[in-house]
Amino acid sequence: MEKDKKIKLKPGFILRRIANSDIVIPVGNNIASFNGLITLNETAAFLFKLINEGTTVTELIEALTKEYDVDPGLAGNDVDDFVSQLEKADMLMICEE
Amino acid sequence: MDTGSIIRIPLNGTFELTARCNLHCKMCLTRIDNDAKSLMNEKSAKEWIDMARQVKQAGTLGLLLTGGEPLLRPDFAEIYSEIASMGFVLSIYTNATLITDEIFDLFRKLPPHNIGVTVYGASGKTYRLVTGSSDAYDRMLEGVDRLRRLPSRLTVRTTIIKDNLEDLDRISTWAKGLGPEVGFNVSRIVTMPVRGGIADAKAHRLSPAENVAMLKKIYMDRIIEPLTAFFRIQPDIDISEKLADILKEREEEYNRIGHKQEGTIYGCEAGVNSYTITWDGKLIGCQILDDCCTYPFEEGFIKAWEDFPSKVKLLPLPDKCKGCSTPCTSCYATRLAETGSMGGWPEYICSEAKLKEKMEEDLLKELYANIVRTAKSTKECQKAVLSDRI
Repeated sequence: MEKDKKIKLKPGFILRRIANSDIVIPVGNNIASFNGLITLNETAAFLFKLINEGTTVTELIEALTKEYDVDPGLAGNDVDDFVSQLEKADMLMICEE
Repeated sequence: MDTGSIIRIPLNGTFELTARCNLHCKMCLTRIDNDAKSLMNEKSAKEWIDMARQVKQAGTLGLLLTGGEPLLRPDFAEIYSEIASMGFVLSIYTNATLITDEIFDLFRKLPPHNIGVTVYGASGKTYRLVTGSSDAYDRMLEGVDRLRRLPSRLTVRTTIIKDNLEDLDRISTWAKGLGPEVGFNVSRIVTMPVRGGIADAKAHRLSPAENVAMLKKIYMDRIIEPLTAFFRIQPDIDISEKLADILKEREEEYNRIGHKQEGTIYGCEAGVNSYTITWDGKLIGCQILDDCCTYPFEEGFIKAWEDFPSKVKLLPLPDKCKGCSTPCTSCYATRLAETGSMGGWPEYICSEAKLKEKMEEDLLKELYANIVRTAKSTKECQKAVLSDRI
């Protein structure tokens, strides 16, 4: 994933806070590829919300570094991992400039 | 009831959108035929949509839309299209006879996560006997043919009474033919109608002995024959220990579920992690449990949910049940349905449970003997083949 390309979640993945857990529920035809639930940890939920609004990998790394006071290298690895998992699950789209 | 330390979260909800149905099944739990009265008391699409927003806010994850037949409502599409995109794990129970082009298009755009289709027979003749409608069978087949094309998880659900008992094998074969991803469930027991339901289940349900005979056949098909086949190819596995484990697990499960009261209101999830909102707007423990209620459309869901336990007044176990160790399906709900009181003794359920317990003991003994015999003969065959080769 190019670090400065703007990415966004595809429509129909809904993040909800239920019983102290952050859960992503696919709705609509997203269930054709994944008819289940995804539980996110705190940092993943933080990133998920930003991606839902539309952002870049660079911005995600900056936001994570700032929010959790972590080393940018470590934050970069976490963001890359998370974005790559979302990509594999076909949950992302590239926003047109 | 004081729920003290019980942690209550309304995770799973049921919206009973209507008690009306286009079919007239002889064993229906809830159907009401008085359409004018029913229509007058049903909640509007706007009210259900608003209620969905409230239950989402309160933490509901799984939401079931059911009836009656929910698709009978002319405003079903309006209700569904709003609720389906809110972020629930959405399930629908339907008889699949009303899958019109409009409904199919709606489901294609926003498929529910789960669809349970109730099937009442394997022919138009049986459908006429059970539901009063012979063309419903063909309409159900057409409906299922459409629904199976959706990415939703599909489950065929059936309820067996005297009139469709002979069709069970054919329903099962047909359901299996839909594909391995399609589930198949047979209702464990038919209880008496509740909340003014007008069906005469008592006259049409299986006798306790017939119900247990049906269950034995299901065990044979689903468990005993596959297990016997397994031991035919794995004759060296010692099953005596395994069988002892199965019996122990069964006893533990009964002790855990059958007598569980701690952390619950009714001994189950009802009112603790699950609830039903009835077609006429009451919040109750489950579709059967209407011993008490609160009014979510009047007072708001969160207040209705929070107040619910204070309305519950449990009754002690019937004397005949005290000290009984037979696993059974008796609970506050089934006792209420069967006897009109949560403290009543449900004779039908009790008789069925005693017969079932005996059947299971006999079946386990038979299974053990059968597997030992199969393993022995398989080993002898293997020995004969080996000595031939030598």
